[in-house]
Amino acid sequence: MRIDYLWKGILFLLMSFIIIAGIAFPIVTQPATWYEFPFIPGLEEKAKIIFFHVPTAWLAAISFLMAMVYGIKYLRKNDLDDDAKSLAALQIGMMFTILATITGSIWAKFTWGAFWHWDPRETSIFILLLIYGSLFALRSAIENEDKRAKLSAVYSIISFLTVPFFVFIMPRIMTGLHPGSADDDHAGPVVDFQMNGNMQLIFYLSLIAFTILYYWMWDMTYKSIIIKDKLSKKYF
Amino acid sequence: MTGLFEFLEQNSIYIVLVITLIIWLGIFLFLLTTDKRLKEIENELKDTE
Repeated sequence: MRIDYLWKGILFLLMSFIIIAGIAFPIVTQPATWYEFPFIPGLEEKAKIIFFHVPTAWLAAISFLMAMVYGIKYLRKNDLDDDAKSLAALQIGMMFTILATITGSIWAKFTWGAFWHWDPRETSIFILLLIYGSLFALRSAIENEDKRAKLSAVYSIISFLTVPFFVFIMPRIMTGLHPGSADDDHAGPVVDFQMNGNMQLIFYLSLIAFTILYYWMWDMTYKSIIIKDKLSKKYF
Repeated sequence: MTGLFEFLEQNSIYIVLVITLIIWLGIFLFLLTTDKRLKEIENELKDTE
């Protein structure tokens, strides 16, 4: 019980700090103190999106990984609770994929001039949406719950194989508009070369905060799925 | 107090900051209560089994 309140308290403080830092810390050309961010040509104030937009994409990748892990667990033990955990991860992953797409698209309008460019990063997340969207169609088409769980587990394993390529590899080796593309002016990922130490620290803290938030959301989602299944077996 | 008001009027990013923090507080409290309710339902289900 006490540990429970501890990590929730840490999450609250950490996320509050990320919000304060991400919104209010100034961007200057020569950062001198710990709370100043460097000026990145071409991104300017809009560079601050990294504290909120990148974690959503990160959580999408994390949840699809969790969906695969619990899919494998289900196939080994045939425990429907693992299917609920896998499904919860899929639902949250889908939500964060959509959020990453929308937030990126709004940002792109003001950075690149239009909401959508078919940049490699945009194309890859679009394909991910299609892949995981069809998984939900597959699930809803099957009545038998064991069969549904089994197919869903296999599909989530196979589809996760594409995630590292679409999220981490393909958009980095292809030329494109998105920061971190192969032809990025400053050569190399934004994280290593253009951010200073302060910005990197707050970026990684934000990944941690969002991951804790994700864990909480996932925990509540799968528990409610299990409860719903139990109740519907009891009364219907 | 008027000094603070003037400061916020000229540096409106801090108004955005305060609003965002309030929204985060609201979401956090919502998660906290929903989590609590879920645990109560779980325990009730266990009792009836």
